[in-house]
Amino acid sequence: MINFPLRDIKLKSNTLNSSAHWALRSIILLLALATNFALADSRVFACPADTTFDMATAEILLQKPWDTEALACGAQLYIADADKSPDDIAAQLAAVRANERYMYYLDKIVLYELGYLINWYVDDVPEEKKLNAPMHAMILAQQEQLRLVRHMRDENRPSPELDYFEAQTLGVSAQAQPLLLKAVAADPHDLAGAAHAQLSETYYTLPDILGGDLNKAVSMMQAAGKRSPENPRYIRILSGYLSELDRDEQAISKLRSLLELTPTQSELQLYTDQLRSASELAKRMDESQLASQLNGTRQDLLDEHPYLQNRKVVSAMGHFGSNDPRTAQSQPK
Amino acid sequence: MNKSSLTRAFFWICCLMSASLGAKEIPVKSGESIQDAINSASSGDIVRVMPGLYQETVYIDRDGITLQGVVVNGERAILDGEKLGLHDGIIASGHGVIIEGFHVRNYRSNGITTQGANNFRIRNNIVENIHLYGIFPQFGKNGLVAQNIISRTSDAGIYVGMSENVDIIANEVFENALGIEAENSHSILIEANYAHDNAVGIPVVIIPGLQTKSGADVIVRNNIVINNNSRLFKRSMDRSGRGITVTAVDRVTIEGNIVKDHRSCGICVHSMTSMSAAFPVDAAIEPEPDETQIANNIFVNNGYDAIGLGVAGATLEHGADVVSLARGKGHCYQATQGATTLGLSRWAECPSTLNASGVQSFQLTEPVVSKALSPAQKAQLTYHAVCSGCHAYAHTMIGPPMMVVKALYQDNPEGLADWIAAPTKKRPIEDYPAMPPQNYLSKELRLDLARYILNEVGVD
Repeated sequence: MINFPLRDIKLKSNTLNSSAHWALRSIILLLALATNFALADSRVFACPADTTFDMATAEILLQKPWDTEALACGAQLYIADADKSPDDIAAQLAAVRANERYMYYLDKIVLYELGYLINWYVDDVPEEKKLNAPMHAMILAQQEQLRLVRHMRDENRPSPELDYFEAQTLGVSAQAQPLLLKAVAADPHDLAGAAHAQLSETYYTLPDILGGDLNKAVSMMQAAGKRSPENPRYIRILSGYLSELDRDEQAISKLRSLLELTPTQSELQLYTDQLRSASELAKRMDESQLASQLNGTRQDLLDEHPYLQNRKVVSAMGHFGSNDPRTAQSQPK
Repeated sequence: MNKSSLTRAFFWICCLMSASLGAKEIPVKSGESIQDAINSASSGDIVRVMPGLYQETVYIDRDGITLQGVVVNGERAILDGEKLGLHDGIIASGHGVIIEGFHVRNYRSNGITTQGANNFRIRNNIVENIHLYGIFPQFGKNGLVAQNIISRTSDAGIYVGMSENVDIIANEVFENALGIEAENSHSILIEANYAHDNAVGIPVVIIPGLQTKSGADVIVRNNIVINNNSRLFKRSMDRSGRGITVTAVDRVTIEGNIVKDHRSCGICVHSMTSMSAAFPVDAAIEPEPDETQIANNIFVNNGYDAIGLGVAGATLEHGADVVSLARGKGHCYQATQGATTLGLSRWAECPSTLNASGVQSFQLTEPVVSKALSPAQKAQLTYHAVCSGCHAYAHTMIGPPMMVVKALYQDNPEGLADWIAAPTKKRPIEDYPAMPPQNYLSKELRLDLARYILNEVGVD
């Protein structure tokens, strides 16, 4: 299903200089977002070997978090472009950013933060290995990301984002902390708080005697939220942290703010998933009415947008059935 | 003896007397079938099994049965599953069952298990060489597990899962992966046991993905916990070297234990995240333990290494007598002279009166009254009492995650029901046994159970 890396994609154009190249990408991105739905219906998913690179297509593919192959192809197109022009820093950065987006959605949406748990297990049974395609895709994507980042470092093309991109391949871990601290200090605008959020999660996950710190986790997640105030995941996670510090009033207020968000189409799956977790969290804080509201909002979205996955697992992890969480086909309500 | 103890004693005496009035004794001699005797028994009857070798699986699906192995000059009734390759020694789903006096050995899955049964008593049994759980009360309320000796089980010697009001008293557990495990359970007393030479002595845990989302009010008191460093079992190798562990469970009192010779820690307190990176996010579970109380314990030579103590790529260089890798609130520790600690800087000193003070038993003074169940309710109960022992929803316990099972059998409840009756081993990992056949469940119940799994489990 996912064929990474894909180096033989034919490129339509790669003759623009770096700044023009990037400016054009930005314009195309905006256009792509504006025309997302019409083009999305063209159903361009996997990258066949003779795919012609087209930035608008690549950007649109990357706006479809419910479709693994679309995301993969979008990232592949950018990586192939970067490989064709190793001296073009804009192309390199664009590839890393595209791949970062692909990895983010693999982790937070496609795998729903669960996939790695199943990975090692089903690999033992040959007929169930296909369940693991997204996990293997994630590993390959991480390898690609490291390759790209190291190439940029080797070529002495430093970017404040590189530390984060490298840290992303290490996940929530102690090893990622030094890189994240550097990324947070540089605070590149384009990361939109992603480095802060990942650093926050490492502070939360690590025990205090191994470098963890719940208060730091809170302040880092707050910083992430400032840089990306509409990110429902940051809000939900921060609410959980606040609850653990007995700051329930603030935690509940955060959960309420989730109800006020108007996420973009491409973020709806992330938003819907977070509403589910937020509802469970509200229940834990004995806020049953809020829990119902969060769940009700989620249900309305599921009704309104049939492509959203409700995580009601009648089919799981790419296996069987027409209601696969990875196929963009709706599940029964 | 206080008032509640007297009331409890009175209750059991009354039970025995009333049982004896209309009840009969059904003897079983070597060479006869225990199951035939069970099948002819009624509530209150005592099935008395004489010493000898019995190669069968015994199912007790009716209430109020006492299954008694008669011990004569030290000789016991031996239930042995080896020759026939049997999975379970004794399975009880009836309420008010007493199982005592047996030697249960060489079964592929469980030694003695109760499944959704209340008011159970399992005492004075020897259980050894079992491939999964030695004594395993699951999803039950009001029980006693006492004076048993359990060894060489590749998971827990005694495993109390999703249960309430259970006393685990005066057992010896050794050479198991886990000695005595209380999982997602409430009001559990673990007292005066001898847990030695397991991988972990006494783990008190919450596992995500199960129906019960919490665990609380557990007392671990006056136990001898020694040298739980075994690395016999691959699955528990990374956790070996721990005496008593608490993971995310609230109000655990650890008092008066002797804890000696553990590589990583005498007592380890974990949050859900610091216990295992393999635990998935279960937003319904509060991940930190609260109000752990550790007082009046004796520690000797714990924490000289730190195998597996850490998370997310960070590990401790050495352990200690008491290690906290958790946050949570309301914890207290009463310093013991010479004891070493790590991660307790925010813990308070314990008050003179602990949460558990005055608690002599968590068993109820009155038996739990059981209600008749509809087929759907029975299927639900069976899922929690049987399947949940090995399957969580989104991650691997012993069996695969239920979300994978659901995917495999979508729209095919009949296929799943057939699998439940006659499963085969698919996973090559040695430590994970094949699923035991659940063919003792009726065909109708298996189909209802399959429908419950496919339509209800994991659905919000």
